[in-house]
Amino acid sequence: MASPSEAAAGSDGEAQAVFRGITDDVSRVALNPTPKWWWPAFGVSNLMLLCLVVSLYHLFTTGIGVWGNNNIQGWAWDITNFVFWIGIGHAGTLISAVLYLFRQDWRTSINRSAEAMTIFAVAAAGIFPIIHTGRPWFAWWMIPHPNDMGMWPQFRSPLMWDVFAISTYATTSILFWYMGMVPDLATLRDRAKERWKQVGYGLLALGWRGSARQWHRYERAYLILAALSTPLVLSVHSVVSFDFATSQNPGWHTTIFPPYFVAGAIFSGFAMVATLLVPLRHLCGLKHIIKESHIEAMCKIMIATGLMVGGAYGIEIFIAWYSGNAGEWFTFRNRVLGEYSWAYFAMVSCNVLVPQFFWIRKCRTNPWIVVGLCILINVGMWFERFVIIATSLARQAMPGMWGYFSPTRWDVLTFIGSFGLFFTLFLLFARFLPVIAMAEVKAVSPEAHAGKDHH
Amino acid sequence: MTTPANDDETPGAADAPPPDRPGHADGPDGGRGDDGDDGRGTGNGNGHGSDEELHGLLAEFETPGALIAAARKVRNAGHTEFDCYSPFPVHGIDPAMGIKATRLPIVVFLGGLTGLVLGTLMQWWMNAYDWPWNVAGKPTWSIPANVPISYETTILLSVLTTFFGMWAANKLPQVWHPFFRLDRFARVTDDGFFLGVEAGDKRFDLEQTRQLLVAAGATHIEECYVDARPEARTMPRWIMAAMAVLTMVALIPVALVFKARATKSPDPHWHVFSDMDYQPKLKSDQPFADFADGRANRGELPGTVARGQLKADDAYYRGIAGGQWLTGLPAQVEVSEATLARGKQRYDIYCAPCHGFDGAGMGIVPARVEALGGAWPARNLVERGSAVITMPNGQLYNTISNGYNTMMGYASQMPVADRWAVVLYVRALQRSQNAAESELPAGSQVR
Amino acid sequence: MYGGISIIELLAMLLGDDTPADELVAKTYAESGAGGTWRAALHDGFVDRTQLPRAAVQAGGGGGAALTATAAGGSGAQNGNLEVTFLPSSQTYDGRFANNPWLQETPDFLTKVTWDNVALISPDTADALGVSSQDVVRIKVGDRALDIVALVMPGQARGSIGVILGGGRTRAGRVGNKQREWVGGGFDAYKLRTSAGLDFVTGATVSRTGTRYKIATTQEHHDIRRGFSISATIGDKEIQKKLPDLVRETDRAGFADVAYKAEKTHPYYHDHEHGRGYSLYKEQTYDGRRWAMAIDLGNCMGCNACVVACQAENNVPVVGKREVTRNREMSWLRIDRYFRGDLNDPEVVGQPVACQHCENAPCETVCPVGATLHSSEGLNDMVYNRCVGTRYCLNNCPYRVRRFNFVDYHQEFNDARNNVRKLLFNPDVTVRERGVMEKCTYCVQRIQAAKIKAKNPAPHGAGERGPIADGTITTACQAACPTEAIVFGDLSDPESRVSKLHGDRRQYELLGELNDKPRTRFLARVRNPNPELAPAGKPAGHH
Repeated sequence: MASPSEAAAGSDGEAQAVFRGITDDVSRVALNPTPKWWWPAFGVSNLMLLCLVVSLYHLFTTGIGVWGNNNIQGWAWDITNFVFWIGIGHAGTLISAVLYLFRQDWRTSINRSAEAMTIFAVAAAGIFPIIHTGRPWFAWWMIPHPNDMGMWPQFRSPLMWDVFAISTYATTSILFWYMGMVPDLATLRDRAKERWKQVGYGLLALGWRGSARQWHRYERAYLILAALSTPLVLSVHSVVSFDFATSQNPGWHTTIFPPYFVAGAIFSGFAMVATLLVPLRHLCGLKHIIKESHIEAMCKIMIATGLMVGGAYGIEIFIAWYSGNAGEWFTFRNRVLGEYSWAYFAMVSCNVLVPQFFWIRKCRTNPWIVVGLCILINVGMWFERFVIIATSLARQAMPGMWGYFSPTRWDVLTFIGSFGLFFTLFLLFARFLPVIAMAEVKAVSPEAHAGKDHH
Repeated sequence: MTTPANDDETPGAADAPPPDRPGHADGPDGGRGDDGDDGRGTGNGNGHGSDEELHGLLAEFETPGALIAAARKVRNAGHTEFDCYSPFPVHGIDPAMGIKATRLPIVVFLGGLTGLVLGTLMQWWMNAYDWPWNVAGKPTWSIPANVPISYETTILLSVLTTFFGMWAANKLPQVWHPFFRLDRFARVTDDGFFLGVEAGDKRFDLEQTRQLLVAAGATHIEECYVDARPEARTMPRWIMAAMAVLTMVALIPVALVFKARATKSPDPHWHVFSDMDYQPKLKSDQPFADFADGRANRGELPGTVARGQLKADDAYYRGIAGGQWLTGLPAQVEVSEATLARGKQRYDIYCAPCHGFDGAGMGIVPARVEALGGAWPARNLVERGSAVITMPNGQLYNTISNGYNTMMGYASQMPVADRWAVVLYVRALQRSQNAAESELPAGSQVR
Repeated sequence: MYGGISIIELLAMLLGDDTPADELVAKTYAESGAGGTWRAALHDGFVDRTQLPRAAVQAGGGGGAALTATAAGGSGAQNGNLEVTFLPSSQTYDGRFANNPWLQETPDFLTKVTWDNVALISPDTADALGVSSQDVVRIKVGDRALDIVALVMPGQARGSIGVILGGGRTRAGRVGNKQREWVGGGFDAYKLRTSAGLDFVTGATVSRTGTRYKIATTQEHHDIRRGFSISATIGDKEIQKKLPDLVRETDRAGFADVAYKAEKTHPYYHDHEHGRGYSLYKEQTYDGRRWAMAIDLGNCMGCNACVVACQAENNVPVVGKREVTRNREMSWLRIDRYFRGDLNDPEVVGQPVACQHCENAPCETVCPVGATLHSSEGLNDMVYNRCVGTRYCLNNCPYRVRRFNFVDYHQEFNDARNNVRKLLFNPDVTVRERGVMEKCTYCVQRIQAAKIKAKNPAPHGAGERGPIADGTITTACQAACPTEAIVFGDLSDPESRVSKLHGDRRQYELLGELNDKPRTRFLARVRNPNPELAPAGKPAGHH
């Protein structure tokens, strides 16, 4: 395969050569034979997915009791994982929508995979609210529908808000992702050689032909979707935080949660995007499209959001003391110094101290260090949710019902399995779909203005 | 005019690109020789038949800038039915082509408004109107708790309107388009910039338009004909069939649910999820195979006395005093008009069907049996001098409680007080049926 | 139940008499000359005028203080000369009830241990011996030795090991047999007990065996001792701080003050103008009956009768030791037990806690499917068959009284051998399946039965048409309470006992600052200890 610079040597216009180079490099990933690294990665992901299948089978046949949840901590790893994954998803929407509104053109090389990551993270998150119910076969009762009991859902419950927020978020993310992908699917359609690929991509591309009138409406729709996704993404994690903030429990009942959760979500999401993209750009040969500067930009965002999260930790404790609410103040002292202090310090060191390494340029450019730090950040963000959920519930108002949560092996397997689901979906995406928004990258390249009279 | 699939040398092409472009090793036609029936390619191998209708002219340009300039020229020449095609949105082409701003935002706004209203109405109807339960002492309807969901439905409907509205306005999905027949057009999703003028345009003239496009700087111009074969312009049959089948299959459960909701059935309902319908506990009327009598109810153990069930007063509960039938009345029974009225009411319900309202033994049951030719004699309770008149009150009470011959006991239907009331009423009946004229109250003797 | 015969019947049959047992007893009763009939005596439960004469007894002077000094100090004996006392188990007594899972899972009054018997060691002694809770220790007395798990127990006398009897049986049955660590069954303490020392022996040596054994307690799932680490201290300090609020008490002098009121009006949470908690919205009102409960802490002695009664009445499952160690015990009513003051000589305070039936119940708001709602009579209803089991209600309950069926606790009914145990279930109460939340219902089945009875005329029993008289409905816990500490009734009747108690100046709401408006109110305890029994250095009534 020729690189763009080589292609420019041809007799075509230079601009066309650049466009063709982008097309070639990206569609090659989807259209060429499966690369060698893909199968082992897919195999490992599938093994992890198998963990999910096995643990869900055990869960559905035995009950929530296979986990460590108990009558003191009704929620533990299940909801921790849920909030963790939803948070991861937020970075994708942020990159695709918010950075689009701010005209951050560098987003085009990472937005497609970030959006895909959003959807797969929402999928991994979405299983938890369903499987964490005691009777998951009745989870559909949360969807309003006429029934012979004559009952309706109870809309004052933050869990109902969750149902609407998460389903809206999943729908919007999928539609936004798919709409952005249609012109690129058309590219694959026009370049695929096997018949089944032509038909498959052809159906998905909806007959896209890049007409200017279509582009006009398409761009407008894209802008509107971006404008709708921005308040949506802020609302989703706010609503998730309402699960805790509207409750009566000290440690949960705080007004800082919505912004704090959103900042944390973006923080963890960028860490996950970087974790995925750093290997991807190496393995798929996309280094010239996903550039080092993009990774660096993400690291800088992580410094910013990490500081926000750190600030929130401080404010939380300050307010707990300043409010004069004895229960609140005890919960926070207990969080820091009590039986779960190890979790608290794991959280603080991973979320506040680790991103500070990104001030050093070498840490932003060395792929190993970036991935290592990002994984640590995600560990920290998982602990943040665990600290909020498990440690707050451990010691509530009645000391007669204080307890300590210990996970079972099924907790661990389910968590590993959710990663399996996420990675399996992501690998399928990276193998069969356009991993980079070709049309958008072309549109923001300098060559997109070739031949125009600049006046 | 033909456009051979493997031939780049086309008349009118001012500056054809070389057949093998670098970076595009498979070539424009490598994968496109055999795709006739999905309607994108030339399909019939060597161009179109002579009866095929001209769709228009497709001109290729090298850069976005050239395309914009050409679009401006074509528009200035008075053409309206033309469009530009590019691998990405070319900025500046809208004014050049004279494209008016889409009205999509207005549609989306209306969609969002609908979402807001529907979401709010839904919550109000479900939680405050149709099913207004007291939840945590809160008002059945208060806006703050309902904001998040209204917010989400607003966004959801806006998003759906945007997405589907955009495709509808763009008239997509449309898998077939005449330009797809041209191999060169495949580059529109790669690096090609095209301008297509349609034959339906008022100012369209094959030669003049071609000249106009050449003058606008087209590097290549091709004529495009509409494929005459209808199957080339539609989805492949098998895809349509598969989609139809899938839709039908998906509708089956829905149809079943609607059928189940609309019809009545004598069959017990399906316990897809038992939802505690089958309980491990045993109710008193349930069978239980572990015991010899097959009943779950163990009843009272012999010799036990339940609280409040001592019933030590023989006179009241059994009509016995000192080993003999009670002749008077137990102390608990008050002789009053109210007791008599109660006794009459109970008598009319439980006794009259056989013994008759007058106590003469010809109630509706014996009367009916007699009418049918049989015999079901009931005792005449008021016959002068009969045993019923002379028997002690206690014995009468005992008969009501425990039955006599074919008459069954009424202890389970009538509590003790009611049975004594019936005794009183029967005594009153006997008295009234056998009264002498002289016993009648003064004033009622004369008919 | 299966038509078996009783012991007296068997004996009578051996003597050639086939009379049924009840007739035999009645005959014997008639011969005893006690008067009246056997049926009447059976019904009343006593025979009138057979009580023992009243005895006149007077306490000896000055003994109390001497006893206290010893008790407070304890023997302080060194290892090798420790005392071992044998205590009957609160669950299995001497072991005879070892096969009764209800009793096995009823937490001990003070230790809150279930399923096992333990050796109690005072905190000081445990420190001296280097023993901590859940250590298996070897107690040697002479040539006899016993391996038993230790539990550090505040208030246990120094230098004295309290060995609880009743465990480690090998032929008790499927439940009570000595089993693996995770199933419980306890330790055979009779190994140490000889006729020479039925109640206590001295000269015991205690050593650690090095093995650990998991004890299932329903409270303090960790060592009770404080000062172990910051994390333990922070919790224990908080408990000491919270206690005066949770379990309110006063002494004789405090109660004598006419201004005394157990309920505090919190400056932030109380709307003085309207005499209620602040509310952002118009709250629901209750026009009809308003069920409520009052629990008098002054009467409660923590005997667990209510806990067992509730378990029997409401088909509450027994979950087994492993589930208890995971804090999944199901009993709807628990008795919280706290230690106050010096752990070596603490005061014990207890408090029965079940669903408080808050009018502003936090659990109801958060249920997405409306499976827990308020009835028009103010009950916090739990709709089992609507519950999907999100457990959000549990998390949002400040009293932590909701119980979740984490697994199927009725699996044993798949085994035909357990068929007959289905008769244990109360037919009026739904047996909950796994994945369903449950909690105290104020015995709603009894309320409904009384209401149905009240609506019907009176042919079938003692019920009267019309209003339900106070005292007609008793909850299971109330009926079982030997000290009548629990009172249930209708607040809309100003003359009902519960109304009167809710108006008492000792009444208070548990966690009232949350404005949940619980329907269950507690009555503060008035302590009036004998000054002679007060531990040295502590004034009477100190807390």
